[in-house]
Formats: sequence, structure tokens, C-alpha cells
Amino acid sequence: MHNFFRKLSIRARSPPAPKKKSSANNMLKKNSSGLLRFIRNNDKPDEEPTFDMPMHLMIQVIDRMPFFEQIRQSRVCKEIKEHIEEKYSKIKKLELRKRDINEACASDDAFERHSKAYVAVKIEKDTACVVIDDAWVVADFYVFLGILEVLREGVETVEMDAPIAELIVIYMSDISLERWYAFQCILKAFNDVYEDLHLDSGFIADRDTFWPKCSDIVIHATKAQAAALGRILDYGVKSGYVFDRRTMDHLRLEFEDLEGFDEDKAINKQIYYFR
Amino acid sequence: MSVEPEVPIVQVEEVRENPVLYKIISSDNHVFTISEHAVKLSKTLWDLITNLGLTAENALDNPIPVENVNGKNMETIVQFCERHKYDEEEPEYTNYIREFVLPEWDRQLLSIDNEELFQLILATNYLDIQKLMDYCCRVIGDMAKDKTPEELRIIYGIPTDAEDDALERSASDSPGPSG
Repeated sequence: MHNFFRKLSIRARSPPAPKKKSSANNMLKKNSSGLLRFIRNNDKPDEEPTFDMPMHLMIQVIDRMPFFEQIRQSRVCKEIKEHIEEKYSKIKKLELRKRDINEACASDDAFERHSKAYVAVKIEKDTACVVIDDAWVVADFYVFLGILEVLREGVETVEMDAPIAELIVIYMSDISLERWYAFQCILKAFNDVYEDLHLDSGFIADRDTFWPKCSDIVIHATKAQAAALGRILDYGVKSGYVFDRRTMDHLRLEFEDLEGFDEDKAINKQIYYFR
Repeated sequence: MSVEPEVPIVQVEEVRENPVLYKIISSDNHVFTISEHAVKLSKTLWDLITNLGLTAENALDNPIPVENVNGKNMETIVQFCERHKYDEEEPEYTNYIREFVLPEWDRQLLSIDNEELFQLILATNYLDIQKLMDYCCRVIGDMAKDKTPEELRIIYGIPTDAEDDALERSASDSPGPSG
């Protein structure tokens, strides 16, 4: 029922902000000396003893945690962070979908859902599938893009839905995600009035390629999503910042509900812009 | 290799199908009997047995001393190996399986306090028992799930990056053996 109302509302509530740590915890963060351990262990003497866990064992423990927990714990220290980065740089195929998160998770047990955001991930061997809810909000964008940051380095093949292609380009542009979300809400509210609404931005400065090793990109779209493709040009992000043209073999656009190019001129126009 | 057992031999589940048994002596001189199928789960022990050339005839006369594992942990390990000796070999660990549920028997075996669990994981790592390692890591992982990275650093004695750098600096600044 909660999700039902969430979908009705374009002002869906963001997940609650993380609680602020107490000043005592900050002290512990800065210094894990024996004295502070002693102070801490006095609070919970039986539950949390201090071990000198060898790093290779700690890494094995982290490896067996859920995906989101691994990412969170990569902040523990440099070794764990490097291990996580190295591990996920082996992901070669990425599938990015915008769909009903409940249906996606119900249809496949392997999906691991984020505790707060409406985002789920499934990792099998060298393939990762990331799903964001079709009634997405800004908080979902941040989690989704955070996952892409972890997985992007070694990716060679990407399959994604058209709105996600637009989201990635926005992420790389100078436009804030909040502003873009507001724009999306306006589009949703006034879609019938303003058919061809655009949010322009100047060209962005040079930056690293988002998918430096990518050779195949497939974008799935429907007629309703064609406008997202047409808008990609507006945000001032050169294609070279998304993928490296030298490594790119195929960039394919697949429409799920389009018979031929001549039937809908409005869609043809959006495809033309995208191309 | 003629260590006299100082305490009564701990008998494990009787092996009917395979008569080959080995004796293991823990660091505190407890003696354990373990079947061939079970001992194969430990790469370290099996390598030792093959390198020592122990056979069905001389296995019980030549107990294997394991200095790094105490009797309590060895008992848990022997129980685990006997329980899982006929399990199909699992593929090398790849990715986290969300729906993984620790079997009830193993859950009870690993329902020990944190200090014992930590000692057990060290022993398991030394004896190189993949399945038990997997289970122990998952139990510790579940315990660590709600902890912040700062809390994990404290619980498992992991220095922060700044502390690491400071240690490295002090090590490089301090005079070496020659000077």
C-alpha cells in the first residue's frame, strides 16, 4: 500500500537521513588505541570483544556479506576498499533496468534490495543487473549511480533502458539530480501541454570516460521513452565522456513497441536527435 | 612420532564404511580420531598425511601433532568434518548468495561466544577447511552487518588509514639494524 501511494505522488518522501554520530564515536573513529577499546568494551563487555583479525580473514568475511554491506564496509580501511574495487572491476556485463522493483525482486530471488532506496542488484559471475524503481525519486538516483560508480570500471557490455541512459548523462552534466528530478515532475504533470520540453545546459569540462572499456551498448526504449533519448543531447555531455569511441563496436537502439521508422514522426525526430 | 596421549581419546562418530582412521593431537595434548574422508576436508592435514606417508596400517600408530589448534577448537573441527565428509564438493566461492541459510546443525555448532568463534576461524584458516571457513565467515559477517565501519575497525583491531600511514612513517624513520 505504501508503494501504491508512493507511485501516485510525485513528491515521494526521501529516505530518512542517517543519524549523526555522537562525539564519543567520533573520538573512536580517530583513534582506536587500547584505552579507547577498553572504554568501549566496558559498555558491552560480553558482546563485542576486540580481536586482532588478520586482514586476509577480514577480507574473506567482507566477501561473504551482502553487496550493499560490502560497499558500506569498504570504508573500513584502504586494503578492504582496494579489494572491493578489484573484485568488482571484474564485472564485464551490466544490465540497467527501470521497472517495478517489487515485481523484479519477486520474480528473481537473487536480487538484493537496498534497505532504504528503491534499488536492487543481482550479481552473477561477471554480470550485474541493477534495477531502479519506475517511480524513482532523487534518493534512488544517488544509490543507483553509486552502484554504477563501483561497477563501471571494467564494464564491456551495457544493456539499459532509455530513461537510465538519460539519468547517466545528467549525472555527468552540470545539472543537479534534484533539479532534473523537478524537471521530470514538471514533464509528468504537463506532458500533454508541453510536448517538447527541454532543460538545456552548457558543455561540461573535460572529464574521464564513464565506461572506458565499453564496446557494446544496447538501449531499450518504448515509444513513451523516446523523448528521454531526444533530451540526451541537451545536457552538454559529449558521447566521448560516456564511452570511448575507439573501443566501441556496437551502439544499438531497440524499440519494444515500434513497427517501423515511418509510422511516428515525433519518435523519428527524437531518434534523430539522439543519433 | 610417538606422543603419548595424556588425556582420554575423544571418540568421534564411528566410521563403518571406511576403516582408515587417523589420530590428531591438539596443542594441549588432546587426542582425536578422525576418518580418512573427514580429514580430507582439511587441505593442511591431508597434505601432511600424504607427505608423512601414513597408510591404513600405520595411521593410528603415528598421531599427527597440530600445534596451532587447541583441543576445544579441534573437537569442533573434527565434529564438523565428520558431519560433512560425504558432502558434494562445492564450487569455489564466487558471490554472495542472498538466500543462504546456515543449516540448523551447523548453526548450533557455531553458536559459541565471539572469542571462541574468532579462535575457531583462525584454526580453520590454518587447517584450510573451505566449507567451515565459509560458514564461520558468514556467521561473523552476520554479526558485523549492523556495525559501522568505525565499529568494525575497533572490534577487529583494524587501524585506520591514518594510523597505518603513521606506523609506516615511524617504521621508516626509525633507524634500521645497521644504524
